[in-house]
Amino acid sequence: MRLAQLAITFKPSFEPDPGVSSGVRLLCYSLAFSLVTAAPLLLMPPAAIAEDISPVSLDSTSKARQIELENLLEQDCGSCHGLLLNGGLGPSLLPEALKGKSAEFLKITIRDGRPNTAMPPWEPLLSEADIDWLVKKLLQKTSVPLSKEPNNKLSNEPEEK
Amino acid sequence: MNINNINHFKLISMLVLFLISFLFVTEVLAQAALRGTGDMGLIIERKTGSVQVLETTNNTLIKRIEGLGDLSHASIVYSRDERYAYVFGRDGQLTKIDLLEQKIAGQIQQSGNSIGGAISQDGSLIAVSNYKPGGVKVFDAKNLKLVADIPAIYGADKKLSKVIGLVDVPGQKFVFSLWDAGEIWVADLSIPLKPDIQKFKDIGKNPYDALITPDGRYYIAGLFGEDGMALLDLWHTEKGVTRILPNYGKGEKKLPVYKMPHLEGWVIAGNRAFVPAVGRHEVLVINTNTWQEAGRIKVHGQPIFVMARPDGRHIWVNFAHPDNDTLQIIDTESLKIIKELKPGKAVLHMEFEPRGEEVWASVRDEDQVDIYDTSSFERINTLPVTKPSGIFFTVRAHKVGL
Repeated sequence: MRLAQLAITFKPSFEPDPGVSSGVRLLCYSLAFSLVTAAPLLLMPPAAIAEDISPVSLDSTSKARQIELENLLEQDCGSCHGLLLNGGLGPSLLPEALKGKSAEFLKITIRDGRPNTAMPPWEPLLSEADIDWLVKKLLQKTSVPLSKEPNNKLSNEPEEK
Repeated sequence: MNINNINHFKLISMLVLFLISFLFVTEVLAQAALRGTGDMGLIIERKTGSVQVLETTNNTLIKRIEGLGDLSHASIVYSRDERYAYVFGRDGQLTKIDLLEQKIAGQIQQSGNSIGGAISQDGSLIAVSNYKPGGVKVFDAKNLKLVADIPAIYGADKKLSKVIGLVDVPGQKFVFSLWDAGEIWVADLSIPLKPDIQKFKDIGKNPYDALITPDGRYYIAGLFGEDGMALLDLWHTEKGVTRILPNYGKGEKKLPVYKMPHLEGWVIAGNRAFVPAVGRHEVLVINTNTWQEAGRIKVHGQPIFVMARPDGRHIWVNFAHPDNDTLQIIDTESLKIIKELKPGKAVLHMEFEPRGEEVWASVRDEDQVDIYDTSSFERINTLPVTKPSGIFFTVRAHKVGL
């Protein structure tokens, strides 16, 4: 409203220009200028996240089932064992923790659970082949590098990553 | 006026108009940038170590903040001014987030493995419950400096127990349970450097989570290793811990539990508490005057979260794997299931907007968060969020135990 008023106030003093009146032109220039300077404040760059699913073809288990099992291992086993399998309510399933444990022992643990602990038997939900695949996957894993390194700073400085 | 003067005049007017309009626009933008945080919240993106900042007035995502470490299990408490969120990450990282500036305002690695935390009654202290090393650590809410360390030592051989079910209670206290030890501790942090701890032993086998009633009086721990729940009346701790629902499920075979149920303060609706049964496809109803069982509701699967709408008229329930594609809504008067929804695979969490007109639900394997109208049960929005789990709104800042 202020701009329009100014344009009207000044209009009579200007030499008449051909085409659009000076006042309106001035209004357009100033709006354009403001938008250009304000544009950076309005833009919000979206973040891109890459999803990494890398099924391991270990045996005859179908590709689709392997993807499901990979998700189960990460998300549902991960609920207790940690999404990086480094432990939570349940112990770590990383190679260091599994050293000395046979494949047979791991299969039985997954299939039958551990009575009187929070480890349930997965037999109702997983086939023999599923469990075989999971055990092979666990034993095949190398030590997991954290995708986000923990920040060891003790700080109240604002920090953005 | 001659031509030159008019040209000068034009030039100066142009510059003045540019300046005025620039100031006008930036002032408008500055007004837009000023906002409250009462309608804001955060969603945990459990796979990517990030959180999404959201607002519930227009149901939008504002910004993703990255770099919070392992959030495969995470929970959040809010500062008393609703400006800051404290995120407790699985790997022991504690991150302070500024909701207004939408960035990390502080971060420490406080343990090796952590499950949750709480903020003190006066908002000055943050307590974290740790699995490794088992115990509770207390930090200054402003600068995250360590104030107290409470190792969860138990038994003759002085082992450390995993700590769960940590809540704040009136009197500048924290209450928590020891999973391995079967104990409940009450820590008074009135003198922060010298916590005064009261221990209750033999409260039951493997308490897996706990809640505090909205009035801050009753601490209730769910037991994994036995039937029933452990109850502590904080107004009368001299009575000790009592067992409630001691016989439910006796003689019946428990189903394998693929995911621990979670207890939060809003399972209370009126004078009834609705809690997930462990290893059963049931929601248990407890009369909170007598602490007796007042009913059982057969549900779709093993419940994980049982959450009352803020007015207490309905409760919404989600379930454990492999039945985790479903939500059921129960009327608290009739105890009947009045609606079933199928949002998609892995519905992990629900959060009601402060006055309850809408509820947000995270659907992990669909990479989305659904928003439902709590009267019509219509889905009104879907937001793209990567592997979402917990959803936490700022209204929690003013609720005991949350």
